[in-house]
Amino acid sequence: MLSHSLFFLIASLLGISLLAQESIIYQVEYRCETKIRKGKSHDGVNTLYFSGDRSLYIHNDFPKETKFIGGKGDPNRQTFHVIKGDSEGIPVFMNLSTDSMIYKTVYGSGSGPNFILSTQIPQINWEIYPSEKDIGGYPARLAVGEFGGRTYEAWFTEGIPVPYGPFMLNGLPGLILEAFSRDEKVHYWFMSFKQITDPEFDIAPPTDGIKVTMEQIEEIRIKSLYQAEARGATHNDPHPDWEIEKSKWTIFGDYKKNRREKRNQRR
Amino acid sequence: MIKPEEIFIPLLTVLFLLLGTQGWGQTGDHIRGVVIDSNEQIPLQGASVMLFADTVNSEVIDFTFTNQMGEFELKGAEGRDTSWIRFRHIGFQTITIPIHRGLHGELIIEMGRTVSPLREVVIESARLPILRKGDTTTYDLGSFIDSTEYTVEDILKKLPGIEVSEDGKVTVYGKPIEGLLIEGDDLFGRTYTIGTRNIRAEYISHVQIFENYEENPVLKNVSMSNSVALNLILDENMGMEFQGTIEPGGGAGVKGEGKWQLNSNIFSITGGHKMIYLGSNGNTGRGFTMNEMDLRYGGSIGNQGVRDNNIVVPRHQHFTRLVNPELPVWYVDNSRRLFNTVRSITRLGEQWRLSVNGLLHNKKGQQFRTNERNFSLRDDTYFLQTEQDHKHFNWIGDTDVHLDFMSNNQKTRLESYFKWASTSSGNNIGLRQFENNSAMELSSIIESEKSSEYFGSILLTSQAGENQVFQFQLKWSRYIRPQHLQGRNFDFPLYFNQQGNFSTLHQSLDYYQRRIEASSKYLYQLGKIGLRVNLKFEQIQSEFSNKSHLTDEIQSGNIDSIRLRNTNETVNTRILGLNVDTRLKLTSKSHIQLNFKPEIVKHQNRDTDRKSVKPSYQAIASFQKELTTRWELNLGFNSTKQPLSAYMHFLSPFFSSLYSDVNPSYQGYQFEGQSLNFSMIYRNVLQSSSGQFRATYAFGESRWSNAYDFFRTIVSSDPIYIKNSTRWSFGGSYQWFYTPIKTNIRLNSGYAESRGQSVIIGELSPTKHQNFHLRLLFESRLAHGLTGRLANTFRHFKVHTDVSGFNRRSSGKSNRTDLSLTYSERGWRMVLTGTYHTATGSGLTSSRLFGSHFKINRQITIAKKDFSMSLNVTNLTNSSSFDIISTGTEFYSRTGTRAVPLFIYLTASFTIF
Repeated sequence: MLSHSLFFLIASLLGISLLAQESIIYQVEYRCETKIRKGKSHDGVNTLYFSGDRSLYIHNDFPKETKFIGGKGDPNRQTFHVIKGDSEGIPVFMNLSTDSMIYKTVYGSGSGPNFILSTQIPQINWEIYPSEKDIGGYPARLAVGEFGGRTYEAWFTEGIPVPYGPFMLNGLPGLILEAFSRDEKVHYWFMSFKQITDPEFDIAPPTDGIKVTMEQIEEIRIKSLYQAEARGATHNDPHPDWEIEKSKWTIFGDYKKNRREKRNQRR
Repeated sequence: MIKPEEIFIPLLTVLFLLLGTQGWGQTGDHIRGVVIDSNEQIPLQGASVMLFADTVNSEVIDFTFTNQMGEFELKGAEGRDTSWIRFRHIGFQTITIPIHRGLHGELIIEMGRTVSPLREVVIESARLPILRKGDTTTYDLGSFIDSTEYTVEDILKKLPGIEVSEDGKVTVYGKPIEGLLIEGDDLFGRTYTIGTRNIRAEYISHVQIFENYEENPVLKNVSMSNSVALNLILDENMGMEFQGTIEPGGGAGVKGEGKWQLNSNIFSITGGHKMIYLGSNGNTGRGFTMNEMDLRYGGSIGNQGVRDNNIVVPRHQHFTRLVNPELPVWYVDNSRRLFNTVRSITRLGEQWRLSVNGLLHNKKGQQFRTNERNFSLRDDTYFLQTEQDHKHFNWIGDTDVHLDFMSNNQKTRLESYFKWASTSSGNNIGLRQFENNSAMELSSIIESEKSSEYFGSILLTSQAGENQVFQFQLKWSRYIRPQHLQGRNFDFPLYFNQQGNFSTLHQSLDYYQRRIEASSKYLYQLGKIGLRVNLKFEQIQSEFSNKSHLTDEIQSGNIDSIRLRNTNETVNTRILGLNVDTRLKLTSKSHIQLNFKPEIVKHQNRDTDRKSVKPSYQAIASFQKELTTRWELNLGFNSTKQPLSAYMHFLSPFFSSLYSDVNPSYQGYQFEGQSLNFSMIYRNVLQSSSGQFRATYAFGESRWSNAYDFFRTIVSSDPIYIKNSTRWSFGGSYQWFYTPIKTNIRLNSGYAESRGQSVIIGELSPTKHQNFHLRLLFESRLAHGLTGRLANTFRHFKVHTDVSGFNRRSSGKSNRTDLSLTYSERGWRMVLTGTYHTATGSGLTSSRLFGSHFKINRQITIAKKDFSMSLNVTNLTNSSSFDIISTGTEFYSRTGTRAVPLFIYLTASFTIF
């Protein structure tokens, strides 16, 4: 027994992947429809690639270039809406072995490169229900869990026993084929599943952007708030439904609230 | 289902390993273990482990994945006699084992490999509702329709970005479509409303929008087209020999008059051949608020002769009369209408394509109508009643053949086209006029009109280099239209003939035109800049003869005949035209375009030799942001310098040409002047809103205007000549889709004013003309299957002239409100419409009209055959009065109320296949 344990320990220290079948890459296509405030940039075909302990999720129809919608209202107080593009399709990369999730965001990047963030893989507390249905010939079961401020109903299949799913949804004992948020803001439908035969294809984290931490993003945004306030303007947080993750960006709101409390305390 | 080998072998393994292990295992409600690859004997990371209660596939108690060490831990089995654990991993056999209460020790699971790959799958039904790829947008109709649609037009109304007007014209993002394709082939040309209003919705699975549409593949690299076209993709169950519906039906009116109908939608779509037959035949007619031809075929059929109401009223129906309550009134219309069209395209091998189209329309009917007028002259009041027996017929035949050749390398294309069309219509009206209930007069009007057209064209397109294309086209056409009119005293009340004079007018108006045109075009594209140069030469020979005789019959019996006119005119017109377009493409959807179009027209006849120059300059800028907003700005300047031509060249009034560049008749210039035009269009695609603003400033205009249109009253039968006028107008419309109540709101308004000099009764008089209109439309989906529509149009005009020192002002206004409710569900369709229209004016027609129509249709399926029945109810009330002004003598006339009580008829029909 000791020899077994020792062997496992050495193997893991050497970083030897203990997973079989890791050279086969699978592709899952989803159809995404959202009603978030950011617009329809996440919508369309989304593709999940996975192999072994790694996965990569891409928004195929995300604009590749930055576009400008235009200003409205008083010229002195115009709000300009920019659809930021991303050459990599706002990817979400997960590595189960290192428990890390590397993803991109367009928020706060202004006219510059998009931000690349790294966090732990979100833990979703799924509850599995006995409901079943057939999706593409795979028997699927229903699970309900909360993620990003929304409650999702997800249909997963044990027939593809991997913990992946659309966007950042993960952690079920089978591939998530369909998922819908109960507030009807986010929908994912299963389109196809197949094996990739391209030997050059690699599941890798995003590289086209600036690697930052959440603290650094906050620092950048607070700085831009100072600049705006110096001109007599201000910044506000985006609408809670701006992103798929609800109320993801509350940097300005939280900062202003803290600032107000400190001022009140001083008084 | 659990297979024995899934349990037995691994179970033995588990039990064996459990005998000698310590440490891991079930402790309390925790189940621990490790999963290893049985071949490699190494831990297996990422294996799915699920704990089920009681039986497999029942309630899931807990689940996890093995870590890097292959370890797992589950909880929740406490208190259960038996639980089940299932282990899965890609590329390995699934293992399911029972866990009994009291079992202790570490679970070591060895998973054997499997060679069975995961099954690949593609979900056909999970298609994108809207897919955009380059210039093509595809709508998957499954996401937009809800089984309440009946025709393709009903589908198009539900697709975002596509709008359908009342006459069936389709616009995409504000642009009118060039055509409607069926699986890539154009079967209808400009008359696509025949297709949209008759092809059943159930046959279509997808609708595509082709932007920057260019039908000719040789022009693919040089086209400056920013046209759009729609393509219908048929359901995959179509395309097998014949498919479609034939609906014969029959019924009876409330007074027992027979009703019948035969409507057809038949397709044959195979790999090399497409054919569509559409037919609408019968005598069921429709309420006055809807025109049968417009409803079925949109604006495709332009003949006024086929546009009429088809109302049936029982004979001898009495209603309240203003003057003579004893006089019977009846109004009967027994028109039979046949409309049939066939469209086909056949591919003859790889390079040839043959298209044959035919259309046949025939209408024959009879109307009985009475009306009465009362009018006063000084202190006397006169009553005049007219009974009219109106027999009419109309016939249209149209055939065209296209033969196209395309070279294998798609660099050369030859298109040949031949069209023949013929129309014939006639009216035979017998009148009886009663004056003051005593004296009676018989009179009649006989008129007939025919026309025939022949048209041919050859077009050669050839690529000359990477981005250069040459085109050469030769067109020829011949148009003949003889007209005959014979009327007797039909317009003048008896009191004018105090001496007992009667008159009969015989008039023949014959028109003949021959036209030939040769044109060549050069197209060049260099990066984002495109250039198009078009040079054309056209020769038109027109002959017009007017033979009119007026015969006076004095009551005493003497006849005196006066020849009013006997003229023959021949006009030769030559046109030399140059058209230069250049376009700079900014993005795939944005461009700036400049047009320069000078044209020289020369008219020649035995008396005159007139030349005119008609240059036109236009600049268009169009900007569109992807998926968001679109702006289009148009600035144009047109100038026509010519001595005014009185030569009226006739447009063919009976049909629209199949191809946009084919117009068998030529409409000559009826005005000269300069005008500056500006228009701006804004469209927000995301919010389905759009706005338009147009402004025109014209100066130095001289033009002909119909007297009735100008003054809204009959001043004379000759047209009015307006000289040296300045005209400006502006108008705009705005439309938005108000999401909370799912309502389409359209607001349209315009104002125009012109000042100039008009020739009225031989004198040149200063004239000012103003008109204004405001239209509001609400269209809303009230509930599932229920749509409501409310439209209101208000018009107002003023004319101010100074004739012989008389300062004359006239004005008028009208208001029309239309309401319709439609309920459509699988198997049911109900339509209720109503119209209220009033018009008043100083010295002008005053009228009031109210009508309504209700139809209910029920479809059922018995033994796979569709049966349907429909019930129709119509009501109409109309009253009008008008003033006639004639050379200083004024008299007034009022028509009594004409009422049509509720009229009901039933039809029943079934589908053959």
